Amino acid sequence: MTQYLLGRIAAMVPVLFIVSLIVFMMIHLLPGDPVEAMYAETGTSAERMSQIREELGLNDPLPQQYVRFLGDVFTGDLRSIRTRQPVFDQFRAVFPKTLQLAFASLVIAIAIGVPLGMIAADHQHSWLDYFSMTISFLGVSIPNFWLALLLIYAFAVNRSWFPATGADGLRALILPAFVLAVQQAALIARLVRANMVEVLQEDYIKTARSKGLPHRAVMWRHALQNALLPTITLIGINFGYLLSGAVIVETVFARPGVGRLIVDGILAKDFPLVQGAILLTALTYLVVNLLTDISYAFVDPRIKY
Amino acid sequence: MNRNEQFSEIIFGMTSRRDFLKRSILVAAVVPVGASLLAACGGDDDDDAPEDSGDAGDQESTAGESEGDAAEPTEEDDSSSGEGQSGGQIALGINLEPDNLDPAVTPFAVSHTVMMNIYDPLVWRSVDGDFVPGLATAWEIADDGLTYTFTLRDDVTFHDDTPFNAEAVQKFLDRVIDPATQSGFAANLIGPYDSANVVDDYSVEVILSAPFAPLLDGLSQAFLGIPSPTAQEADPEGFLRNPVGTGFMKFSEWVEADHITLIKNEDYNWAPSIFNHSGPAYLDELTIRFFPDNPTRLAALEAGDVHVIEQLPDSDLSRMEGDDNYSVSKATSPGVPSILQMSTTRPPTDDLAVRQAVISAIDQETIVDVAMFGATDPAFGPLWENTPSYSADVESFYAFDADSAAQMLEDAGWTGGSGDIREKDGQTLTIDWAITESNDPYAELVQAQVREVGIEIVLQRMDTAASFEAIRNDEVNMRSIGWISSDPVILTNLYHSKNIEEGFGWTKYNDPRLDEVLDEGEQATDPAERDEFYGEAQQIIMENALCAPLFGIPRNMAIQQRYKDMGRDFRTYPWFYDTYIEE
Repeated sequence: MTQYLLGRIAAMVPVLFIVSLIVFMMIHLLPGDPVEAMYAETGTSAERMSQIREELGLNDPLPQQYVRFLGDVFTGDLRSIRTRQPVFDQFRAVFPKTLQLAFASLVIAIAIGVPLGMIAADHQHSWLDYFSMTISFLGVSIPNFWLALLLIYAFAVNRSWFPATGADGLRALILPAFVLAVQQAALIARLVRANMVEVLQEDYIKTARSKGLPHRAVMWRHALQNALLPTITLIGINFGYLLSGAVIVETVFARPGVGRLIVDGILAKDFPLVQGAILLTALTYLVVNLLTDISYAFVDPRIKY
Repeated sequence: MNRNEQFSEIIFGMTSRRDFLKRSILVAAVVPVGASLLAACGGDDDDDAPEDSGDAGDQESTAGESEGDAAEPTEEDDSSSGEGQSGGQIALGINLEPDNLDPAVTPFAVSHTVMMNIYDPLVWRSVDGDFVPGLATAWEIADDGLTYTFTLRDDVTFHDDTPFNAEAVQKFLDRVIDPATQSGFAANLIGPYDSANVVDDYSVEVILSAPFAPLLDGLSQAFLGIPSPTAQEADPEGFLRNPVGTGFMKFSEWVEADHITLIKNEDYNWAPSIFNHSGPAYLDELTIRFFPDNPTRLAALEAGDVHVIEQLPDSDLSRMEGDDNYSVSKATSPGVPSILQMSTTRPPTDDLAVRQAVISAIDQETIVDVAMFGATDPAFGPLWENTPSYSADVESFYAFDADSAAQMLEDAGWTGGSGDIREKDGQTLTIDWAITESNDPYAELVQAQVREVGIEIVLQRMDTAASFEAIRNDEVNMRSIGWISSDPVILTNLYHSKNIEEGFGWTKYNDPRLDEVLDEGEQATDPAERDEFYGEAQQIIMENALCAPLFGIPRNMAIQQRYKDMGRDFRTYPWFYDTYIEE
């Protein structure tokens, strides 16, 4: 296990290096200039802007800028052009909010998705099955910005059960987490259903039933546990995605988060911010992936590292 | 350019669709929601509601109310607006998070909104544009316009108890022009600043290398509000997000991407005469929250998350005006209104007749009424009408007239049957316009209007930064822009030939006479002379049809009714010093 872990961690280094190179090239290939983007709002002279470009080293050859970027990463002195704050600090400030949101939405998604999928599988081709799967279809197809605004007007403006916006405490977490969870829940439900349907045909299920095990035990202990492996993979991938991909929900709920940090950075052409934040996101993604793989061993005793 | 632009572009192409959807929700949801809200408030404050909303609808009255008698040094007449009650807090929703709050560094309007509570300027500008003593009680300008001598107040301390004095002013201005500061905006405001001499503790000389008329205007902005030298020098990087000034509010906390909190400065006793009261502010706390998304900002107001919002979405203006729970403060910022800059080097807008026809073919009234929901007024030149040195002559240049626009094109050899896109020497009359999300409300309307006279506009959607590059490199013919500014010197950034290469001189119009009047206007200290130079500059710009003016930049705010005496400064930034809560 230790050896496996060390191997996996060592493999992260080249991945991160390649990510840094690709991100650097992509953001520099996009048209637009960070200094111009920054001063276009209030206006300034060409002279000032070229002076600042010079100070920032934006006129240096790209390979030189890349090397400086790597150096800044290692010395921890990577700073956003726009805010002049250390990128690591900015990332660290919003990351817990993103983690909360991703985690809460996943909990809600599992709480809705798994039972929904099980019910559907258990009553295959009955109205319950069709009903659950229609709900899940809706869940996948509802645009989340629309759902978000609808919920804000329903539960924050019309009835003040929740704050409309922000990230202050648990109450502010519920609406955005629910919006994000809807799509996840729908995907999980469909996957659980498909796997359960398959597993329920297996011989060991028949054996369990013939032993006289109660239906509930068969479903939860024998069937679900075996149907869960692909679902865990999906959850792992989704969790990684949620760490940077919740931009729209974060924006509509005016919630701080990694996704917004990166997208705002891209629009401002804030090279160091984007490069640094994506590198950190890639790192968390790799860690989540590793954790997912480790969790297989707990769910399935056959898997050992 | 609209300040919403960069952040709301987050959703890229989806935003317009989302806005559409949002509106359809509102139609569906607001009918019941709005009805219950109205019912609720009707029960609450039935009697005083009508007169309050009448006040709010009046364009200038909300801002003018707190102005007092700017010219008179004596104040304290509390005849009109009653004594405010102390206490309470207000939460303001703005559209962007400031980058930082170091006046020497930040160029953003949202930063100004926050900083004007934390810092005091040397001189204030009243809502009428007069210069009023601030941290400087008096100033003297030498005849050559190169030396400004400021006499400073001797009773002012910074929030960290550092005494305010001439040295603080000198250190700050020196820091602004230090290349290591990388100041892009504040440095521009002090122009040819050379040095400052500390004459004595409370008197400072500012030396310029060339006359610079906009200096006082620059010094009246929060971008040149004086920060504590002790706090800044102790931790220059920390100071960026931990500002210390002399203002009526002290910085308290900044939660990344969420809010900034300011608290009352109990020692504040140096309010300028332009306000209704003196001494500390009434409000104990001011929280500023950031909502890049327009519908969200409004929802936050309606849900009570915040009490006042900047950039009230245009589409909701009339609904909020009709809502007794809120008062609406309408304003249009001075400076450059929303205009379409046209390249004079890329065909077909290199042809003067084409540019002139575009301006004549655009019907600003309709754009304002239909696309902007009446949230602003039409513009006719490169400066908005409340900017100093605005020349009303521009209004008569190109009145909307589709027939004359068509005639101009006909005369210039652009021909084509009715309804066709015109042609000349095998070239079709097709104009590329780099649009971003901020243009969405009206871009297609403009496109349809000029199509009437046989001009085709191709809308090229791009992100903000890319669109700058496209217009500068002549990959497109047009791009919109709009800037808040309280001095006509702003025109230099757009039209002086020195800004063509790397700056915002997108029209690439190179005319020694235009450069000359822009330079003279910058240097002339006599206001009447400046009017003349800038009058000519505006005339040259319109004669050569360098821009198609659209409308003034709306800076409308909605405020919960119980907050009283929220003022707006000369540049339309909100003033919270006199604001109080009516119980």
